[in-house]
Amino acid sequence: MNPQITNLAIMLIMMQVSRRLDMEDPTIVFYVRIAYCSSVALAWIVYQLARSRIVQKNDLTTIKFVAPANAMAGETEGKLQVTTVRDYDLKELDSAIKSIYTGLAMMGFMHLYMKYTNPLLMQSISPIKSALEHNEVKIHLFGKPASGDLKRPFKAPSLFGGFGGAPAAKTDKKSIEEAEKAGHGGVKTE
Amino acid sequence: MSILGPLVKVADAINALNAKYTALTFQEQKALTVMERVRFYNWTFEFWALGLLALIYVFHVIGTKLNKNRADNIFAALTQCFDELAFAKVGFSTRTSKNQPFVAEKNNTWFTSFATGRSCVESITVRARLLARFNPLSIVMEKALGMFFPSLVASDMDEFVDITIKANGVYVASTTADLPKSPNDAAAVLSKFKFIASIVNKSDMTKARENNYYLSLTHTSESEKLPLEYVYMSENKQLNSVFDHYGGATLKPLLSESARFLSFLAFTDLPETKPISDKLWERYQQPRCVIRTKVVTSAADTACLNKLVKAAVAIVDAATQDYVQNPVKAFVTNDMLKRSANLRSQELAKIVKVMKQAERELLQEKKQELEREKRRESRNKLSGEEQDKAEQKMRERRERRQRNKQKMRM
Repeated sequence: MNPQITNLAIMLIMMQVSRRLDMEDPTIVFYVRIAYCSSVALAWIVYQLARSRIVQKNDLTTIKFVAPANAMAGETEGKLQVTTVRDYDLKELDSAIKSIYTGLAMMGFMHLYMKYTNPLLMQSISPIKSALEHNEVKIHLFGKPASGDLKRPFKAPSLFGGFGGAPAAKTDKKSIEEAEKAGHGGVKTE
Repeated sequence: MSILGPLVKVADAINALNAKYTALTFQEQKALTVMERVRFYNWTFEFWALGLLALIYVFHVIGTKLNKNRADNIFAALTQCFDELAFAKVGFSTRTSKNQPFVAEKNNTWFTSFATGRSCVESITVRARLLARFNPLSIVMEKALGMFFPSLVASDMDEFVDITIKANGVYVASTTADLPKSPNDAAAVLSKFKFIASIVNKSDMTKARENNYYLSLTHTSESEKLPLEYVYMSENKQLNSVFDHYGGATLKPLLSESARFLSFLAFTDLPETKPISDKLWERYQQPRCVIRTKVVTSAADTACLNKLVKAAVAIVDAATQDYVQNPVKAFVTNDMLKRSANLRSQELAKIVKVMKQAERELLQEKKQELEREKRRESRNKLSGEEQDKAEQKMRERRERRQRNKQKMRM
């Protein structure tokens, strides 16, 4: 099942659960905090385990692909990425770990400063779920082969199957050769 | 609670430190002697502030010294290497008799050294950039900002050492031999260095291509001739073997040893920054060898860096010797150079095309601005009634155009 849809379903279920709980009760707030913190800690541990496996494997096979243009940064053409399997995996994992920190900061602000407890309860499953569904975790901890959906570079997930997702990275020989000789490097911004 | 609540709380707590003192009336304060006032006043905040200033000063001194020590370590090793390579002049002359091995700039964050006067090599320039260790707060801020907003932080502000070896095309067989008589020979030899061939560390491939124009024109390929940590980035595959041919069997183990710190070793004639006009293209073409490394600190790494510089100079020496003494034996053939020249003419054509397009756009803008100015002037010359008439005419024309457009759509 599409992870985005299950996330939505979990969110709806947790909303119903949170409506039935007395969020003013300090004991419940305490347990909700414990649930959220354990979920985040577990997710972090899972990512770190995968990270150590990647470093241990030290797969230096080169991968080349043309990353889609970032319209937000004013790019019109895709950028060639020449990296190794190890660096690509570490980059993916680091961005996942970074998203944990961002989530923690947001939840900290909402719960400690704004005094909301509901978001804490709703977010107490998704960190560990995302960690277990992460492509790198599937490859390095669950030992799935890096082919099909797990072939690098990974496709950006979309909510409605093939529609509405971010453009995929190009891996065909022609696009790579064109990007290799494009001479886009060394552009210095003032 | 407002968003500034915590700040207000801190300010209140600081003010509360001297609530007793500020509660005194003017007469009561006047009655106190200076010493009594000093004793009565709570100096906690001031002591903390002074402590912070002292801490900033200590960080400044330690950070600056740390950078200086690192630079001393690198440049002492490199100076020794240049001496061994028999350069006539190493470092910079000063007013005193003492030679200055390197120059420090921008509060010990940029360091430069220079060596010249040798067969085959016009000069070697070493540039090292170190972090501003005297300001740890800015380092932490930059790192934190770069983690969440990478586009806000300059990407090329890491520490590095750049060693540029410029070839001169003049081969002198021994220290007693004469210089070549015809200066044209040197230019002809230098023209044989107009190619891009490099060995790039796999950890820095994308970054190296992004920051260096010449590397962004190359094809990346793995090879068994290289240690696992490196790839070739050359403008055509044949040029990959230039390292093997001139570097010999010692290059591969040396590269393995240097994998911790070496980013790339490149032979190029094109600039690092992408030229935006044909004049800049011509101006910045300089055949050279570039060695980019991380900042090395250990004795083993500096020794390795020295070996790497010697290996690069040996390649320049061997290639120049081939071109001067036996051009037929030279590795880079005329066919390879022809392909390189083709790539350069294509790149130049691209640059000229973009430049011309930019010029056209600029001209168009100027023309439009002139027309607007002309229209404004002619309108100002008219009387009030005539102006109204002209505006009415313009409005009617606009409306007519809009109607026509709508009809077309229908």
